Amino acid sequence: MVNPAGPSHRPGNPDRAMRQALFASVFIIASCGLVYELVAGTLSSYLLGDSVTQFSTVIGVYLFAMGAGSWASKYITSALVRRFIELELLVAISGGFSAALLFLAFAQIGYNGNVAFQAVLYLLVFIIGMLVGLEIPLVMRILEQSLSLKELVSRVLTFDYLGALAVSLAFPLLLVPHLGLMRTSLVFGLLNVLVALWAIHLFREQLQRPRLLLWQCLLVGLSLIAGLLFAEHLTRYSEEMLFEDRVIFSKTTRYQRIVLTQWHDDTRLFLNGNLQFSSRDEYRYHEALVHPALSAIKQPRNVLVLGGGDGLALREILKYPTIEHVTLVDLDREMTDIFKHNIRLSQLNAHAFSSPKVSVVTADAFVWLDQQKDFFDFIVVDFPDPTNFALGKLYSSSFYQLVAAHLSQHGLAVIQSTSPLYARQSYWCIVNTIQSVGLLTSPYHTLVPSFGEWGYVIASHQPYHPPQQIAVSGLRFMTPETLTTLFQFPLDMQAVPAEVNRLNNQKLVHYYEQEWHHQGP
Amino acid sequence: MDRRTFLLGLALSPALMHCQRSTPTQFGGTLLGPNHMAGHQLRQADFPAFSSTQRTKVAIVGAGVSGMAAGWYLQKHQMDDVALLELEAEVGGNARSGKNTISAYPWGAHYLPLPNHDNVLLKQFLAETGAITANVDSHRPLYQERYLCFAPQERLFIHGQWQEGLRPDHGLGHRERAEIQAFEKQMQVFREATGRDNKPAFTIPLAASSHDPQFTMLDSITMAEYLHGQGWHSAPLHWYVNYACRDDYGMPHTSISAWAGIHYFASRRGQAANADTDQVLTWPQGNAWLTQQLANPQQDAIHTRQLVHAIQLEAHHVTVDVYDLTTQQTTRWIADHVIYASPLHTLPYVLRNDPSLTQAAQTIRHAPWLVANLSINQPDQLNGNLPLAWDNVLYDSAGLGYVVANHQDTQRYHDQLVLTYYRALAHSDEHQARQQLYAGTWTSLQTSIVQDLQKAHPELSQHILNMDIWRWGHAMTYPQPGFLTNQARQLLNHTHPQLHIAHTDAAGISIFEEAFAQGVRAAKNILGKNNHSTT
Repeated sequence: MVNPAGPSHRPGNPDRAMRQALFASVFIIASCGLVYELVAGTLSSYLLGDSVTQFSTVIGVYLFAMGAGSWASKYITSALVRRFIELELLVAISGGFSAALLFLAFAQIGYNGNVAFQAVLYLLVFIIGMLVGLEIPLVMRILEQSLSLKELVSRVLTFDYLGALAVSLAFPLLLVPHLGLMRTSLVFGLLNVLVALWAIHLFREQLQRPRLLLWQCLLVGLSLIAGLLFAEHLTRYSEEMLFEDRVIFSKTTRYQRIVLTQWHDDTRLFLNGNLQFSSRDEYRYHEALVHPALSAIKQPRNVLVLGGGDGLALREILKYPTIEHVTLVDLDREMTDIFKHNIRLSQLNAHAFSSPKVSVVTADAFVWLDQQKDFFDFIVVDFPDPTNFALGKLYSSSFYQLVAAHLSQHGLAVIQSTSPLYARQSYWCIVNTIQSVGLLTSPYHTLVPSFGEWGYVIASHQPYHPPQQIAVSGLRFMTPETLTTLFQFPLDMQAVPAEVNRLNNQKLVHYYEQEWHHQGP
Repeated sequence: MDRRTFLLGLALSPALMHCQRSTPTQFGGTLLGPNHMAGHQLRQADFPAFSSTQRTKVAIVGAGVSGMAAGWYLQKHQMDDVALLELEAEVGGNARSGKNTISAYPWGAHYLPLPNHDNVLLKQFLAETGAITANVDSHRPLYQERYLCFAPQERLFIHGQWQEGLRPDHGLGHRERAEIQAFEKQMQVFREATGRDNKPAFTIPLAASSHDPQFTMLDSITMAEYLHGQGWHSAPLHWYVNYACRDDYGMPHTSISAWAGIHYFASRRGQAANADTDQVLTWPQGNAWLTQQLANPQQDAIHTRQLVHAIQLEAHHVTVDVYDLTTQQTTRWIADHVIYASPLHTLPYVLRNDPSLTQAAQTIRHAPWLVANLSINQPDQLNGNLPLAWDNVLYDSAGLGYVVANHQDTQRYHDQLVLTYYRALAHSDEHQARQQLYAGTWTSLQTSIVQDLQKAHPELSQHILNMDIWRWGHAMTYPQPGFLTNQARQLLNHTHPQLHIAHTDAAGISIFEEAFAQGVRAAKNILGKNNHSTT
């Protein structure tokens, strides 16, 4: 710096080099301003869905807040440079931590508190917008001493727009793919700190107590860096909050998002956010799935499990010593892998995947069955509920035709069939569909506390008779006496008329959608 | 600062919704079409004299649906001395198909509505192929479910949103809805109506429909005129009916005979034990599945890359001069009968000594079409507020929407799909439309297709891996007002002792059922099973 400041506290006449430095700051300020806006818009549409609405409202609030900031700038009358530096630090904090804050807020509030989350979102967007709206007027006023208004407006706005352009390109192509939203906002927060430091340097001779400002910069900068280091943990923490319990595993595979949680002795598996089992009562579900049919088969040898990648049905099946071979067909290799290798999970399924009797096939069950010629004494059909047309195919008459074609003459198949209480017509639609391909059906149900009242269907070529005894010991739920009661349906679960679910009508998905929509579990 | 931020933000928002996976993509593709060189050669009549001769009882020119249906019927009746002469390297005609690593896909016709109960031979054919699995003679046969179009069958993008079915409903006013209901009700009346000759008012093949003037008089006006005459002026109804005309006939409802327009809505009464009347049979490769079933039993009779360039009617036989595109030699086939089962605009170049027939053939008009097959990744982006259906149509669009070739797959997940996009270059002036089609380059056609679909799928272009485009200059004939009583068409349908025409060009409308019936009729004539000619 060559030109010393005048005696007043007003900013002096910055020379050429200094002006260039300030223009560079404008460029950075503009990029940061746009990044925070884009982060808020992207995050809100990511978390809340409906991106057009989210983007439009976030941008609207942000612009309004910028207007408010510009208007408020007239109330800043003294120590412009100092105010500007403090302002940069405030932007650095609020903008830099915005993504992290929104993630955490969403995790705390959860999916059910959309309104509360939106309140936090728009408040934050308003604060950042207002601060960003203050920046450019302040910079212009700092520079107004040395430039004509014509030059000033032209130059400042040029760099402002250039900064915006740079970010608009970098954000979708570089920043989000490589850094993610949380890191992107933190990095740009650091850029704001950099601008503040630069301003301190440029105006060091006219600033009073520059050391205090430097300390403030250091504090903000360090906290942002700390944020960067913990970004990974923050993401995981917010996910844990969302699932109430501690997330011990989470992975997005080609097919689904697998999340495992742990709370004391309760392990839970979620697929796409839907509970698949809780270790506290899954034995009820799986004992009821396997034993009523398997205990009724004389000398079962060859077993097929479709779905059931958690291996819990396998655990029950392998209790029968006559069984020679079990083939498990699951779509998602990642599922069967983690249930084979994770210590806690393989304990849960009694190391079923390590049994020499078990072979795992990673395939689409429909396609695989279509290409098979083998017969099976026992077939377990354990797919997720028919929430969409893709899954609806696995409950269709065409699919049950394949099941019938692979079921040996005296064999039995059991099909998990959603809740006859909450989705009564869906349940009886599955029963009718199985009957439509010429199989005999024996519907039954049991109570699984974490699910509610749950339904199954035994399908067979020959009439099914509940076994007098259960051939294996060591069960926690099923007895021969309870077994016979499962086939009685109280009034509120008894059969209702329902059409056959075909590939060309997908009736079941319609029933299911109506029933779970109107009457949550 | 504010306005630019706003604009930028809005412009970016669609890209940002999927920013993690958006990479600017460039895709390639090929411009395809029927063998044009051969057509050109035909007009030039530039062929070597025949160097060998062959004998056959029946020579069939063209192995499309009509030609192969004729061969199928002849074979069923122990007439095995047949030669099917096909210009292209593959059989199928308009029902041809392609295949890539993702799926087989159609290049033309791609579905068959459930046949009417009285369409006995077609049902018999379907039973032979396994498409009908039981009760073929009953009113409600059991169909192979894998061939019935999986649900959801159709959706329509209208007023910024997808709705189920193609009949406009979302965002319509009370009166617009009422008009569509009144129209549907009237079509139901027509569907159930019988003429004074005790024939159904509208049926398939159309030649079996009633001749009662109260129905055939509808042939004197256009479908648009008919709607206005009923006092139906609302835009959604006109779009709906116009869409049906463009989709089935390739021309707008302002050019289509009202009789034919109503025929589309009122002629289909087919039932199934396991499907509703409005459901259709379809396959990944479209109707090429059906043509393959027709071709399989007569593989030995089919000769491909054979260009028939001269037919002479002699006193007791017919000579057919055929240029082999592979060996570049001409062979003269001497046949008792010829079935001409090719588009009739080629007949004048081929048939030498029957001026009245060639003149009649020259009056046939054809609509040009464009079909594109798009390989895409990340199919989820096509879902919107409703999941992807088999047929996905955009309201107020230049195209006819797209069909998902993989729709009949039983598997749960697809990483990639093939979409078959259709556009009838509907114009009042078909020649101009055809010229525009041929003037288009791959780039210009590709761009207009993407632009059309982007209304519903803003990010589509980023997910296209490849786009092949097929130009059909003469895709199909279309029924103009007066087509029912058209002299030329009647002449083409008349039995000639040796030359039999079997083509939808002669039927008047271009659908699988008509093509099939044309072939069967020609075969019956040869076998002496038709006592009288039909029109």
